[in-house]
Amino acid sequence: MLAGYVVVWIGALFAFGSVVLYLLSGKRAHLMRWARGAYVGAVLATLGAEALLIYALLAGRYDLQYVFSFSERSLSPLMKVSCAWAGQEGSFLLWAVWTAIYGLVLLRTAGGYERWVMSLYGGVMLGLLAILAFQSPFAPLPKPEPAPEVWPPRDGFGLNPVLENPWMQVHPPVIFAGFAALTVPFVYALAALWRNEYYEYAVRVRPWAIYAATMLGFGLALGGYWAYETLGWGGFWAWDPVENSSYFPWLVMAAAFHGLMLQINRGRMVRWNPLLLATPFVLFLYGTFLTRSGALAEVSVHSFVNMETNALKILLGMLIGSGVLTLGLWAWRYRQMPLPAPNLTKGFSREAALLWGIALLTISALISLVGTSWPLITRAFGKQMEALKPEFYNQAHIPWIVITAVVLAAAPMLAWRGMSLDAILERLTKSWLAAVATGFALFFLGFREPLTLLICTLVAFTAYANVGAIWRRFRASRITLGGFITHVGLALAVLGLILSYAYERKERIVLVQGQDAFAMGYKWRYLGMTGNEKFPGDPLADKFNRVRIELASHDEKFIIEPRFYQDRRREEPTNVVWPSILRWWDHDLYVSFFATPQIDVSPLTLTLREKARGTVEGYTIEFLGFETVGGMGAQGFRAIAKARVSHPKWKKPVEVAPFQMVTESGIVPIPVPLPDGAQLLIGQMDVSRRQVQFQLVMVPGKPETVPRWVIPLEVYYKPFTILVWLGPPLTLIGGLLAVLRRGRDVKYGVARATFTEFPEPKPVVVKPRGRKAPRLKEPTTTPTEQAQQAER
Amino acid sequence: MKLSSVLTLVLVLAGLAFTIRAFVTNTSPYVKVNQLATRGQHVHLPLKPLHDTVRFDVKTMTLTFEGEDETGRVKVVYPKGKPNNFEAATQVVVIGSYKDGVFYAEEMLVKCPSKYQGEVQAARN
Repeated sequence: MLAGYVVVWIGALFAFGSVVLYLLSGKRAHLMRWARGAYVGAVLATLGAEALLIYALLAGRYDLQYVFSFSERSLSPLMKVSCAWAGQEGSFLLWAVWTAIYGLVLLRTAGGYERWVMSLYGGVMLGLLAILAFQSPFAPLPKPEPAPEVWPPRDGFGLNPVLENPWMQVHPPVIFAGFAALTVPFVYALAALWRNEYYEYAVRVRPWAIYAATMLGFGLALGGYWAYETLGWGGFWAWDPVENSSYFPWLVMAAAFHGLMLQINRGRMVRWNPLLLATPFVLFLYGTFLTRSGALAEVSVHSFVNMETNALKILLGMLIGSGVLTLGLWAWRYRQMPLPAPNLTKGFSREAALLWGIALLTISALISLVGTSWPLITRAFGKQMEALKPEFYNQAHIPWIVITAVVLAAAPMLAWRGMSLDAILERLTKSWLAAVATGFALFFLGFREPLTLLICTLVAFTAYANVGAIWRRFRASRITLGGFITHVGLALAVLGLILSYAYERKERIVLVQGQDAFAMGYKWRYLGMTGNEKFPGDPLADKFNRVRIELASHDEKFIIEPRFYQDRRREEPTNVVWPSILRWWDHDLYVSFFATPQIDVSPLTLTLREKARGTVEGYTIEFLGFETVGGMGAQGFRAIAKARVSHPKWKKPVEVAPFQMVTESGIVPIPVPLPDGAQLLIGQMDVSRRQVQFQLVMVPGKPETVPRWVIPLEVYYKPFTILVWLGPPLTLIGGLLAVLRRGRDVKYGVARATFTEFPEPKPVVVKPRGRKAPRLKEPTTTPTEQAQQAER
Repeated sequence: MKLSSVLTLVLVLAGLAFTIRAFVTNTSPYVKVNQLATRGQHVHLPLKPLHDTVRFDVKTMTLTFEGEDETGRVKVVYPKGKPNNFEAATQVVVIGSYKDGVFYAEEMLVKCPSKYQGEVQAARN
């Protein structure tokens, strides 16, 4: 589609133009209008490209490589729209679209910073559009040789069915909203270093930093829900490189906006904040590079598609460029930055809690960053490559989560200026008692592993303390509640993740058709597959195939229908699993598959002593007697087992005599046919004990002798998953509330106060190295702080 | 030194020790067959599966096969069914531990000659 190429190229040109014009507008102020115009042009082009792609998907333009590969006629219109981010090109476009939109908001709110941030921001847009120009979603489908009769194809190859579900419509847009938002703090931090101005920017960037962390966090949670609901892994989070590469930017961004709180309220962290704010964007580029370049292909259980070479080079250029620029500028400016205010607090203060928080978030980010990169690190040092097991991340986080829980519980009670231990303990008594009560309750419910119990009690402590803080402030000022709500949400989610993982029970059941299995307190019975109606004998080929299973305990009975479909359009069949989840208020029973269901064609067996009888799958066999003909072991010797066989579907039982015969080539079993077409023969035989193993062989094609399905089930009992569902929405609400509040700060409150309090940024003068910058006075109380003190 | 600084230091050191222990106990090196006897616990083992040795017990969903690399041959037991693309696999990476001449795999990554379509990634990332 030529229009698509043209639009992307025009967008790239506009982005380039906006960079140049913004840079020039310092000396020629009238150029500012043109620069804005150029940026808006780039935005319109990006939106146009997305609109074109969606149009192409809806209109079924299967002559495009992208549309052909990721869409198909049978999809609903909404699902076709979602195909716009099913492939790599499309997800880059989605990233560019969000970035473009944020740029418009940034342009209007950046105030005196506009020229600086927008010239950098335009550069990022340029990079993204350049990637899209080389790896275009509008590339035509190459025509195969010899040319097929119908060209272009009437239908697409189709969306990977794993993606064909409602989560596909929410998770990628939300998480890319988070990824794209990382760009704004990045450009603000660089602009601040560039201008050598560290106060105005802090207030301006704060709502953005909180917004980016909030969206990214919620996007991660949605990804976890998706994995749990439809992938059948049995968990929300698997510490896979793909997941980790969006996890560590999130943590660093969270550390960054806590650093901004310290800076704006206490004048501390001034020097580190620019680095913390710029790093998440660089880390995200690094993560994208790791997962798109194939560098980790041997390590991840996920699979990867490599990028087009030029596009990959641009991505690598953006990664190296932004990394070098961030570190270089920061290191260069470090000694010219104002010194942080001295620590005047005594005892335990909110300041100390925030410092701890920042340190803990950074540590967690480092753990996952090093863990994810470890295979590459070991390879780079020429050693044998080493990977880390997912368990590493869980264990490595244990000590830090303990400290985090305590800090987060204490934080809402602490005053900025510090307080004595007694005063804190007094304020925390109620929450602590509630937490201990929860701990005991968990203990009596059977959650007894000491370390886990300790962690859960502490995390509950965090939740109660923050709920208390919300309760006390609810009437006074609702807009200040964001942080506490977020912390409650995080505590609930973490509690749910820990309980549901540490105390999960897992069992594998190989459920055979016609044979009941017992597990998890239920009797399991395979009932059939719905796909048999459309594809008799091959139900797995049906896209909507459900495996019907009955669970029965002494007082309950359920029928569950997990989905299993095998997509065979590609060279390698893809299994599509949609687990079945039975939910109670306190636990989930999660039923998934650990392998592909198979048809067992091996015979049914029944070992019987003489005169005994047994039943297997409806066939009742009575072993009547044993006879031998001929010399023992000599050629022609026959061992005959007389049997009476009955089946509920037959009018009357039959008497048969299968036997084994010694021939030139050894002992050969001779089968006898049964009325329904199945065959009965003798397997192992123990003459001295007068015991015979009967084998029933099913003959395919006879409707009465259905082959037996073997269903490999993986069943999880997962307690308290409900908390995982409660937490993230709270975090989202709290985060957005904080964004609103800090956005208002920029507009009315702190902004004016802070800007007058600190001197106007001086024009950039490169000072001689080594000279220490003057120590700033500790900032006087800001309006927010006054408000907070009034609340107490 | 103030009490609080000492406390902080102790906490951080204890945490670090814990994290490093987690790191050491959870690394899983890539090894060759001839190293299994000496360092065969919790390893990644890349192998070429020998398809004439494959046995699959459908009743227990247990897959057994022999695999080789340039240093030797080993028997592998994998309890989680037969991966769809296993027949076509030219290379597998089995993750697990070696005991008494048998490699017990907990996970298996299967590599095929064809490039796998990884749309999940595109969407999840």
